[in-house]
Amino acid sequence: MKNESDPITDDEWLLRRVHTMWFKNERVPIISLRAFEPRIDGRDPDINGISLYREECLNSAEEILSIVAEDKRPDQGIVRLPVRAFLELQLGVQSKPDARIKGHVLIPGLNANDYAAAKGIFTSVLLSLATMASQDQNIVLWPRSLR
Amino acid sequence: MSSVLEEVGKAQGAARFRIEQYAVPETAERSAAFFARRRNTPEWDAVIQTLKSFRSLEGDWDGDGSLAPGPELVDGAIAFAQSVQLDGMDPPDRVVVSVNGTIYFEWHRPEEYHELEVLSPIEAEVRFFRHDSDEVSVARWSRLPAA
Repeated sequence: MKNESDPITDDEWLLRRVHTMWFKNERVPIISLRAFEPRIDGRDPDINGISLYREECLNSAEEILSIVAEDKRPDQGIVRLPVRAFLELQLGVQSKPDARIKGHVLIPGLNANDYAAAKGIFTSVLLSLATMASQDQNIVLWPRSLR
Repeated sequence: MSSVLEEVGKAQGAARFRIEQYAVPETAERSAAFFARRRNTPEWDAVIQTLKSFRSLEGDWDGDGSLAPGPELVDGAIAFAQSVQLDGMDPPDRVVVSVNGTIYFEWHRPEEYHELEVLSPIEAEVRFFRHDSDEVSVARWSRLPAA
């Protein structure tokens, strides 16, 4: 297990919460591109990048569900992606400690402003992430509502 | 019909970006050329039912503060769906709401990926990506009243 102050290494894995809206059992890829889309508006826009969590800083992947209201947790799943993938796509990975959950990171290359300016530029990147996240071994937790 | 091509350049190591903007009548034959040309009524019915179900979404539907699509946007998405169905296009592999309250149709094919994002009741953006290319083509659709 790592401390979140430890440097992020490219052999680590990052966890992402994915709403059941973007899971689909019978289609490939199972995970929609929308699971990695930066939020432009709403309560908490992804100004500095979308959020993920370092798997090695957590006791259990399910810890990242704790910040979601209890009644909405059954609709949340979890996927994992290697740090290396974000680096190869030139998206970056930046530590951004959050008192609520250890290992919080941002992906600066997937931020609200750049995305709002030209969504089309991100299509191939989002497709790469969705395809990778859809591999069996990268689906850490299916939403309870789909199990 | 007007057409504008614009090279936006390469960002974050992602695909090149080309914009084609044009307006098409609701039942134009043109759009059928982008997709397979067969109708599949039961699957299209399921798509319409899924779109209708989005009317019940409220703000913060995902527990992360995402916006819900308004009823006008859902109605617009249904109109787009009916329009492309009439054109003989395959039903999308999925229809989903995004974190930004827009509605996406996704078509995943072995050689290419297409998506249609319904931005307003009468406007959509279509993006095409071929897996063997680094180029994404983007077209803006405006739904016009049928003649």
